[in-house]
Amino acid sequence: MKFYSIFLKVFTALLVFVASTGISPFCWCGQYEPDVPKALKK
Amino acid sequence: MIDRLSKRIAAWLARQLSIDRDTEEVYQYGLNLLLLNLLEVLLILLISYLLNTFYTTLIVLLVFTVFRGVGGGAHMSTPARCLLVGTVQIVVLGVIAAIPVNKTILSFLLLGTLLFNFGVIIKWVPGGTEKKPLSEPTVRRRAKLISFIITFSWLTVTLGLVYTGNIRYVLAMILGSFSAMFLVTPTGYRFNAILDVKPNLSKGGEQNEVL
Repeated sequence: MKFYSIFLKVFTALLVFVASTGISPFCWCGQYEPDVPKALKK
Repeated sequence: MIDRLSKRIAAWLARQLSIDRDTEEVYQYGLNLLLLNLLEVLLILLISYLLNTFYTTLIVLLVFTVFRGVGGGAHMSTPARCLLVGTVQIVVLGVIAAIPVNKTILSFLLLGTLLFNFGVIIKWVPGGTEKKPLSEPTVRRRAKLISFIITFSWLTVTLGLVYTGNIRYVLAMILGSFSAMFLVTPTGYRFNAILDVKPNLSKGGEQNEVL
């Protein structure tokens, strides 16, 4: 159970990191940009 | 498909962690980026492996990603089109890069691409989109500076490959760089817009609005 909760936290931290790279001017995404969520807009 | 999958996984995470709607949307956005790019890279590497052009395609992909990350450029309007166009583009370039070319032609191509890169960086980098206009002067200046640094690093690596006798990878370096910078030019945007056509068989096709 402890491992599962650590896994979830690491996984969600990775997702937040990826999302933050997605909104940066220097984005690594290929040929499509998904809509930026309201929470990440300035 | 990727949008729906991202939404489902984000909703599942939201239930597990009892988070608010905004955080769920951030997870969904992160998943969207992660899954689409992972799927695209896996597809590209798998196809290139089957075509026996793995290393040249890998170099094209790496160089393209580095230049693209800073230079920006034209984008597709849906994930499916991005997956299709992006995969076909890199795989085809990887196949072309595997063709043996003599040193003189490679030298001309290298010089041409270098001059082309300089021109594109000075005039158009970074290439913004509707979702990310990149119009602030400080961001533009920084993107140009980093693009120049990347171009010089790219040139150093390419010349290093020539002098170490790994000439078979030079064309991959050239094509990866050229294709990424091409997508920053107005012609690159128009080229992408032509590929980004909404299929409507009953009306014979309808073009999307592009930047």
